[in-house]
Amino acid sequence: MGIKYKLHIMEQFVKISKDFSPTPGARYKTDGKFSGEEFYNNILKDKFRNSIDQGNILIIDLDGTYGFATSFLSEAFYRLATDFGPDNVWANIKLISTEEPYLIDEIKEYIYDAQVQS
Amino acid sequence: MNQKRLKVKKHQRSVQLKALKLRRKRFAWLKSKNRSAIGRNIHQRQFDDVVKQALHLTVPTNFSIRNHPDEAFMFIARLKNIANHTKTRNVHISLRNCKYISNGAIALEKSGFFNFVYGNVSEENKQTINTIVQQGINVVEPEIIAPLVTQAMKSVWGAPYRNQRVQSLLIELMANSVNHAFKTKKDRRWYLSISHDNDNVSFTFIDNGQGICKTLNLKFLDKIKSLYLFSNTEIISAAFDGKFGSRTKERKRGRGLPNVKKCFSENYISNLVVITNNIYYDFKTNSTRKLKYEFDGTCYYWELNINCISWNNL
Repeated sequence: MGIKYKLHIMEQFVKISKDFSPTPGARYKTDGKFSGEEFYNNILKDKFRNSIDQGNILIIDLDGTYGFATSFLSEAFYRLATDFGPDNVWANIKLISTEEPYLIDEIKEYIYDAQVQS
Repeated sequence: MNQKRLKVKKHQRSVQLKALKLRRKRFAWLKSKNRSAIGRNIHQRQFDDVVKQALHLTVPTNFSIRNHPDEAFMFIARLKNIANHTKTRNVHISLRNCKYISNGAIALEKSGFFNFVYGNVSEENKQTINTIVQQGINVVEPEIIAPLVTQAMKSVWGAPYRNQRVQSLLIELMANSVNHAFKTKKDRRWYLSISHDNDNVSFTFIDNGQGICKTLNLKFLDKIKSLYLFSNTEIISAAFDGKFGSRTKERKRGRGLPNVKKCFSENYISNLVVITNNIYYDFKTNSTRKLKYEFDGTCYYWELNINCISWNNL
């Protein structure tokens, strides 16, 4: 039960520096390694879907990387919001960014950009 | 048997004599022509021949993009002209008259470059932690940049801390070069040089694309204004304030240049200078000036020092 509970908790948590890369890149796969597109397709999309299916909130930890380009974050979260809806995304994620708190507001902006665009 | 040996010896001697005669003949010829090749080995003579056939360029006395941009860009324009309009691949660049090379001068300064220079080079210039040129072709390289940034932090703050803002800034610039700066999708190159001078580290990032003025997404009205009313200076200033969108015309785009300015205005970097097309934009004084020689591309120069903000995160 304890192990199951731990796994259950692990699934709801994404630490980008460990689960993806400590050196996130730019926007598209064609731009090079560790792009926002790659992060969304390989990690974020499935984690978010699983967390919603289980009725949980997805915790995304942005700390511990060498730095994010705006293009990386905007691509990953814009795609997430386009696929699942901005309000749904914002209500079901929790962002941790103690090193760069301003990133949380920026990500919120990228998420709601999708609403404006659609 | 003895006769055979004698024959071989005779042949060897004749060959040696022939070689000696040739050497004497060449020496006499060089002496008559007063050539400097006397006493030089075959590799040096080959190098001399290459230099003889090459086109010659002299590096300006003050080779500094930041302090003497006109001289530096005149030299670069000549070099580009040779590359674009002549068939020759040999260019002899003389540093004889050069008295000062600044940190940002195309990464030729105190770095590994001097290991390949003939003449007297001081020891301090041969051993250095400076990065002469980190080059990228068609892609963004966050993994390669990260240790360079932490090394810069070590020079400034004494330990290899991370600096998320500088890393972020570099990724933006690399992405801009790869995605927007060039007309074609082939051979999109960017260059980064980092120079450590005690606790002051200077960064120079260059691409040889079209320059910011030619790659902005201007709306129809802005295009008309840019042709008749706006100068390049006003266009550049507006671009860094985020007044124009990206060339891709997507709403989520066009945040790269404003992010560069934000990094400077929030004091994460200092002494930011951007040179593009015919504009020299100094962010510290918020002033621009027009250059005599146009630079097709974009050059960013900034410094990281103890006055900049740092989190000190290892």
